[in-house]
Amino acid sequence: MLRTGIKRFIKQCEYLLILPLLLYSCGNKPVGNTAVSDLPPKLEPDYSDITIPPNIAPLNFIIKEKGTAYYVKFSSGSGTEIELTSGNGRIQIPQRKWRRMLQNSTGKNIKIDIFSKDGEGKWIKFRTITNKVASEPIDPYLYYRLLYPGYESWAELSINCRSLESFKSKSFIENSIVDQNCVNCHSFNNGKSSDFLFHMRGTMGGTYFYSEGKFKKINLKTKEMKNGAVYPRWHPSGKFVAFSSNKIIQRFHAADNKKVEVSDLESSLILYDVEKNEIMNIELANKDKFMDTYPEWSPDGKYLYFCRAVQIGENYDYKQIKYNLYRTAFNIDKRSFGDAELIFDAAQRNKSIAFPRISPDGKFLVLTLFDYGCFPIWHKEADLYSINLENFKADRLDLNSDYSDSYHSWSSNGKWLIFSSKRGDGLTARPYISYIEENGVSDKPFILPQEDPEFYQGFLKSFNIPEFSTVKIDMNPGEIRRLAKTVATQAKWSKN
Amino acid sequence: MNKIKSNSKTFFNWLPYLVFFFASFINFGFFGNYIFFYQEKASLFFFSSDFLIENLHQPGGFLIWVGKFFSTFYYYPLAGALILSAFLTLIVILVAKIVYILHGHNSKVISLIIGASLFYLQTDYRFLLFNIVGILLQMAFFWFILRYLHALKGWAAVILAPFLIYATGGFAWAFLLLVTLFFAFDKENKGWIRLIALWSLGILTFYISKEYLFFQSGKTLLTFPFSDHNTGAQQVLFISVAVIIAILPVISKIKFPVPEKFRISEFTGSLIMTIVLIVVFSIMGIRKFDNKTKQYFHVEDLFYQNKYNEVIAFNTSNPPTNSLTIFLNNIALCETDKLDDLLFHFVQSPDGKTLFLKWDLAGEVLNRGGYFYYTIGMINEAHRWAFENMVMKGQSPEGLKMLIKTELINGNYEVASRYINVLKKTLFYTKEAKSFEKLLFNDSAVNKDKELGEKSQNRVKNDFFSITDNPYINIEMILASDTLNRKAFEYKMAFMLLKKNLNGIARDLPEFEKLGFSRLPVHIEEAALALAVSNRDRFPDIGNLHISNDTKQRWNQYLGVLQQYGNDLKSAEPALKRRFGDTFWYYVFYR
Repeated sequence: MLRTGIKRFIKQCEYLLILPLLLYSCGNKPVGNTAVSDLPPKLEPDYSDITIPPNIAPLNFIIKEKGTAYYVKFSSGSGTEIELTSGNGRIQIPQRKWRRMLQNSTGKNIKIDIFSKDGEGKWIKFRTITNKVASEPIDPYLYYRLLYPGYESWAELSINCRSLESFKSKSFIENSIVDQNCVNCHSFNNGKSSDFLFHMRGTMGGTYFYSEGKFKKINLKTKEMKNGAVYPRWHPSGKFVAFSSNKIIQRFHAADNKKVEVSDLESSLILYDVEKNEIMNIELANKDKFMDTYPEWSPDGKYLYFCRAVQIGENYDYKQIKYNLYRTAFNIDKRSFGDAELIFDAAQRNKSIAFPRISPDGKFLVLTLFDYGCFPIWHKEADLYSINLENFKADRLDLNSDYSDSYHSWSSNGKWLIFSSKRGDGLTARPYISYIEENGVSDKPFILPQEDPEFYQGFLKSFNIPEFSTVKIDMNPGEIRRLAKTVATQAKWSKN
Repeated sequence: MNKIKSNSKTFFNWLPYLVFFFASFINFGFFGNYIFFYQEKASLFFFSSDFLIENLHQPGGFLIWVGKFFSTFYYYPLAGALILSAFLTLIVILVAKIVYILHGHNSKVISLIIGASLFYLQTDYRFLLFNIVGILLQMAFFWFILRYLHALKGWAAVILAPFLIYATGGFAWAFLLLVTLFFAFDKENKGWIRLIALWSLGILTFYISKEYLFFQSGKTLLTFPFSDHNTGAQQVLFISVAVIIAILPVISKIKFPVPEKFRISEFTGSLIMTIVLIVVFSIMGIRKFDNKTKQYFHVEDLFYQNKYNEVIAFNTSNPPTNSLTIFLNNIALCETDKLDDLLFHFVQSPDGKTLFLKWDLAGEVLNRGGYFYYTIGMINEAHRWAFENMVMKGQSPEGLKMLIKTELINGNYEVASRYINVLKKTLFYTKEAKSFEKLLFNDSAVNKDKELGEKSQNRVKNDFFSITDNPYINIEMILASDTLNRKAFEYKMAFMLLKKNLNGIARDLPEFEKLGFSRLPVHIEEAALALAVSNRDRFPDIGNLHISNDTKQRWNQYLGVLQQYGNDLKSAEPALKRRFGDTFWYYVFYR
């Protein structure tokens, strides 16, 4: 909160320094004859030909065309709404005007005309950019973890909450408050955004559950469990959380551009009963022969989807580990599961999958498809695929790039998908947002807008596990500190 | 006449300060200048608002930012000496001024003792500049309030306290104590009211910071950025000096009654103080001067500039005992193809510690260990060490350059470009950043670059998983698939020499010819001759290469000396050490 204020103040000071330049350029509007170019202007970030939410923060950008002055005109069906000039190509749109324009344009198009002035004083108009403003809003908050896209160590970690309707950003938790322990795997309940959890490792370790404004700290690991609880998914009722329980190893490539190889040596699924504080195995037939991970509930809570690969032996080729998509029926009253049913055979395509995520209407399941293993963030070839849950047909989404496109999350209305993409440089993951049409087709994605359009250029950290939320969890450092210091309640082991 | 007298009085009044400044400047500028190298290489200052914002995320962060800003000028040791000496002298002057304002008498003795103590602390290279800046800011604020805001009857101190706490973190304790004691003695103006207000505001600031603003533990909020580590493990002394500064209002009240006959004029006092200062600084400078550290940093400096022959020459004339220095020297030897010629000219650690460093996230190893991997072509591993060092300890110039170089070699131009953009925001590395920038998205330019081209050609191309806990295994893995990696092979042979693995050496002797060596390295020749003896004169296979006459001659001389002592190894040791201490033969028997 304070940091946001200070940040804004410093940025304002920066703008004051360039005020004379801005004042100079304010009079710079195209007059007289203007040359017209057929080419679209190069923008960074690329905010052209996209569908945007009616409540998104201003899409600030830099015009990457040579020029001594720039003029940008935003217009909608109701006429010109915003006019901006710039001496250096940085376009920062006033929030109030932007909001008003989007309100006036919901369900319609907005047009962006960009002009640049060359060294001889001649103005060039580039091809008009047309963006569509969707009728469906995006969830107002985004939670993500900020960390260096590195190997095994960390010093600073934080889970942040960013308002998507503005540029306000706040740390929800920073690990400096908890002895530099690792905080990870935050997860919202898709059906009920107010249910939230995250893990903390180390001296203040435990799983922190948030529900109806209150936190509790649980130690999910019992002596009966071989490995700890790792990847979580909330049951839509909020009464259960399915976890995978994994034994993970990290290794480092000497020559491959992939650098890090993360694999599971073993994994299984477990179920936590939030109300009864009980944890139990998800008993599936022949489960010892498989490695089951990445659980995901159907929106009606009747099925648990998960990724499954054949259990590896002592000597194994990590490139031959292929996960397929399975599901099992769930009986909520008996806390029991049915037989595992193959839904998508990735291995048949010589591929593997991770992160199944079902749209809130239950029609589509989006997953990450890549060459092998269960950790796609270092896999350049990783792409998002959508499976139609009515006919189980899988299609590659149009939003993909040549780099890793992986961890994704649906908005509560199922119209927006946010995902981590390394398309910028192959190393740092950035959150991209895409509109999902009725038929499951994705529109061209756009990067999470920032107040400073140059923000991503020098920012070396990755946005990890982006998750939409409809609620802002208001916890201050004092509360987190006290909570972390409490003794975790021990979960009880149950056979069912 | 009066004017001359007055000028002369002023001069003598300022003389001790001038002497303090110059003594400090000469010491740090010409003798203890290695501290600047260490501190400049340990962090980076970026000219960007984002960097400032990043540093403002906790109380005391601003102080770190200021410290890093001035440390960036440590790039030039004389500029560093100037800045450091100016700050130390300013503290001394401010202490004297404060004492004068508080009690109306000059007290150069206290101020110079404080200054000398800080000078002493600063002679440790790990005592970071922000410690001095932290003290200086407390002094400056307190003096400013006394001097200019007295009209506010001390309320300025109360109002400014939260800002100072935020800006300087744990260092603000000195200010709070100073102001507390000042108020405590200010009975005329009901100081106790302001005292209560000061501490109420201080406690409230802490409470709000802890509860609502910052994600730090209570202890960190109270002490950051002060730490034992950043004072060079001198926290007891540093805290003592800080306490003396903080209780100045009490100390300066103490007056030692001096009998009339021992009273001296200001002129004489100044002269005596000047002489004492020169003596004290000379003693401290000599006592705290760490030649071993200075030599290490000199070697590191040459090493970072790729002046490998100069590294070897310097270490030859100044034989190092520090394992890190020898580690860098071994890399320099390998880079100049002399590793197996000159290995035993330097004291080696038989466990291989001087050849390669074991992974350690916490110590001083992380920012250096990767250079071994860089030399043998394990570019990814060199990158990993540099990256993890950045994660754990923040950005440093050499770390950032290693990240750029490894990404350029691997052809990851977008990532390299991101690091280059960061390096461009520094003051003294923009030129290097721009030269790296010219290589972006241009494989041919990278291949033509003297350093990067060679590394690119030599880089490991067949993949395997790095084994950090046992660096030697990585060499075996490289050579299992890339038999032409000469640098890795040289390291392999060096390790076998260190391990006295004669069978292993015998097995690999034919490889030298295959790898294009025109002659056998000296230590390998020595090992081959020793092998022949142990194999009853059956000479190992060395292909078409031969043993040089010089080595044969020395071997005969070695055996001759041994025979002179009746083949008694123990009694022959001094003579053998004198003549053959830099040979494998000596190492094999005596290490």
